[in-house]
Amino acid sequence: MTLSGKAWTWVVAGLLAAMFLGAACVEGVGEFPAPVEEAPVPGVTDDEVVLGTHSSLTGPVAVYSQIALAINAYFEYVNETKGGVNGRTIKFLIEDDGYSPPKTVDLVRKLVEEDRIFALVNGFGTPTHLQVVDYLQENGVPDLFVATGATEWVKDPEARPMVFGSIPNYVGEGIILGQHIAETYPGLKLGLMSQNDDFGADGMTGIRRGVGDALDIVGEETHEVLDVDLASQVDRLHAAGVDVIAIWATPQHFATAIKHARLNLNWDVPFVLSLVSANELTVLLAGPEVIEGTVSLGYLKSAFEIDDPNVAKHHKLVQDYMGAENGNTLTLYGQYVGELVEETLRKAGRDLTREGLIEAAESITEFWCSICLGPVNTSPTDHDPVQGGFLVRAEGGRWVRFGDLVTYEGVLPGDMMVEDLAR
Amino acid sequence: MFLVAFPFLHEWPFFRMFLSEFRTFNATMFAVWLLVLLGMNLLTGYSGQVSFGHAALVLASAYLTAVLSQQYGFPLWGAIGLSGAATALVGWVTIGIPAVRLRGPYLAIATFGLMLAFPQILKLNVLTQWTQGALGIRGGVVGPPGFLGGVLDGRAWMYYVAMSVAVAMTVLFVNLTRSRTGRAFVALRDSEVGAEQMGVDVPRYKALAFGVSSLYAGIGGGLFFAVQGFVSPDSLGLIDSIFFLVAIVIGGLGSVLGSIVAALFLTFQSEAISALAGFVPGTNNLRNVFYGASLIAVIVLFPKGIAGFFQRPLWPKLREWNLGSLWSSRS
Repeated sequence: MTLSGKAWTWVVAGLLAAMFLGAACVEGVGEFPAPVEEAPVPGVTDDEVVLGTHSSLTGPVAVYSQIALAINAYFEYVNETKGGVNGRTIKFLIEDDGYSPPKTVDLVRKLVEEDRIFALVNGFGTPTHLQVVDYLQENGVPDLFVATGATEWVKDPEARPMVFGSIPNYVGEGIILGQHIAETYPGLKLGLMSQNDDFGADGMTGIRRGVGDALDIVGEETHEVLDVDLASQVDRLHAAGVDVIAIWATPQHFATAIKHARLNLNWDVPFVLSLVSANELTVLLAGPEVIEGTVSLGYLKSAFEIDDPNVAKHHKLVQDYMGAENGNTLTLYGQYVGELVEETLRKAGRDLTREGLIEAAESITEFWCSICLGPVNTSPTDHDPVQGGFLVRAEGGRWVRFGDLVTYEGVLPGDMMVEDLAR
Repeated sequence: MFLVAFPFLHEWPFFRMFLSEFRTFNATMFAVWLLVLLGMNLLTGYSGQVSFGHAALVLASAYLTAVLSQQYGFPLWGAIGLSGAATALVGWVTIGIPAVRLRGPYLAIATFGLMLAFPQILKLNVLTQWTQGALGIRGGVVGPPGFLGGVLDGRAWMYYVAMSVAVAMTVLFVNLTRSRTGRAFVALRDSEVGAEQMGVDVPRYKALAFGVSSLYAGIGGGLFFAVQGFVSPDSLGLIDSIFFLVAIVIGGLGSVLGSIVAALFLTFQSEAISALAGFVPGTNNLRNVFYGASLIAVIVLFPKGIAGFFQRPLWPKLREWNLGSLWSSRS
C-alpha cells in the first residue's frame, strides 16, 4: 500500500501544521512586547509560591510516587494550619515521567518554561534527574533536595551550585556501613553485590573505603535493573565462600537475593544493605523471618515508633491530607523533605528570589526536622543535608536502631571521590 | 511562501495566549521522534519486520554523536551525519543481514536481546574513557551560526535544524515508499513467497529495509543528543523501544501520516496522561488504567491506526452525514 494523492495531501498538511505550531511559539526574538506582564520572579506572587517535581507515578518504580504525594500532603498541611510560609501558600506541581529520562526532559522543561515554577523540589531518580540537572543549572533554577543519593549531585557544589541532595549520599552511607562491617567481621571474607549503575558503584566505593583492609573482598557481583532475580549472583558468592555480603539494590532485588540465600541455599550469611532497601516493602516481599538480623542505616524515625508524638502526628497527616491508611518509610521521607523546603523558604524570607533561596539552602545550621535523628547542616561547600545516621538491625520485621549516631559530617562528598578517582 | 513566512509567525500576539516557549522544544522533540518513527514504520509497517531494538540504535547513534563531537572535536552536524551513516551500516550489516533468517517473533526476540545488552555494554569499564560510564555524556548549549545570532536563540535554531531535517527526510521517505524499492518492501510484508515469485530479492530487500530504517534511527539519535544536550546508558531503554512500536501501531502502520501521528503521540503522551487522570480527581493511582484503556479504545475504534481514520472510507461517510446542515438548521 503506497500513499494515494489524497493521503499525501494529509502528510503535507500535517507537517505544515506541526511546523506552523512550532514556529508560532518561538519566543524571545519578536519586537512585540509580551502581552502578559511577567512576574519579576517566576512562580512567586504575593500569596503563592509554585514549586514542581518530576516523579514516577507510573512505571517500574511507581511505588516511590508516595514520596511526592507525601510532600504534597505536607505542603497542604502547612498551607491549611500555618497559612503557608512567610504569607505565601505553597503550590506543588507533580509531573509523572514514568522513570523515562526523555520524558523527564519534556516535563521539567514544561514545569520551568510553561508553568514557571520557582524551584524544582525532590526530582526523583538518578537516570531521570541526570538528564535535566544541567538544564536546571544553566537556567538558574534551584534544584532542591533531589530524591537520589548519588554523589554526582553534591560532589562539586561550585560546578553545580543549584543542586542539593536530601538523603545521605551513597558513598557516605557506604562508608558507615563498611566501618560497621570492618568492626564486626574483621579478617573474614566479604562479598559485594550492586546494581550496575552509579547507585551501585557509589555504594561500593563507600563500602570499600569503610572496610579498608579489614576484610578480604573475594567476590563482586553486579546486576541490572531489569534482572528478575539475583539468585545466580548469590550462588556465585556462596561458591566463593563469602562470610558476609554488602548489597546495594532495590527492595525487590534485595528480597530475591536474601530469600534465595536463606530459603534455597539454607545459608545464614549476614547481609548489610543500603537504606534504599531497608523499608516496609522489603519486609512485605521477603517476610520478617527471612530478613531478621540484616543491618542497614537509618536517618529518620521509623513508622513503627507510634509512641513518638511526631511519628504519630505523621500518620495522622498522611491520613488527613494524602488519604493513605498509614505512613511508612517513604512518606516519612516525604515529610522530611517537606519540612526542609519549609525551613529553606522561611529562611529565604518574604522577598523571594532564586539567589536568595540558594543562599538559604546553603546556610541551614543545626536544623532538626520533627522526625530527624540527626541535625541538618549545609554550607556553600556542602550541599548534602544529612551526613550520618544510626545503624539499624532487623528484629521481627522492623529495623531497630542500635549504637550511637554515626556521622561523616565534615568529610565533604568531593573529598570522598578523590580516592576513587585515583584508583 | 508559507515556509518562508514561518519565522515571523511567532510574532502574532494571538499565539502567545496559549503557546509558551516550551512548545518550541516540544516541536523539536516531535521532529526527532518523527525521524525515529519513520524508520520504525518502514521496518514494521512497510516491510513487515518487528524490532524491539530501535531504542538501542537511537541510543548508539546518540552516543557516537556525543563521543565524536565532545571528545574528538567533530562539528556537531558532521557528527550527526556520520553517526547516522554508521548506524545505517551497523543496522544493515550486523542486524539486517543476520536477521534475514529470522522472521516475525524470532526477529523481535533477537532485537529485544540487543536492547537488553546495549545499555550494559555502554557501562563496561573498558569503554569508560569514551562513554563516561553510567553518568553519561554532556553536550553544550548549541547556538545558531554567527550571522543568525541576533535573529534566533539556540532553542529556535535547534527547532529549525531538527524540523528541516525531519521534513527533508519525510519527503525522501515518501519518494522511497513509492519507488520500486518501496513496492518491494510492501510485497515482502504481504507475502515473502509471493514477493519472491515476482522477482524480489527477498534477503537483499529485508536487509536493506533494516539499513534504511537504521539510518532514520541514527539521524534521529544524533539529533536526540543535540536537542537534549545529554545522553546516558539509561536515556533510552526497552520501555522506549516498546513505546515506539505502540506509537506507530496507534498512529498507523504503513503510512507516513501514521508516523506523524505517532510522533505527536510520543511527544505529548506523558502530558496527555496527566491531563486525562486530572479529569477524575483522586485517580492518581489509576493513570496506567486510563492509559491502557485509551490504547485499547484506539485499537478497537481505529484498527488501522489514527491515520487509517483519515485515509479510509469512514471520512467520506462523515461527510455524507452532512454535519454542515446541522449547523445551518440551528441558526
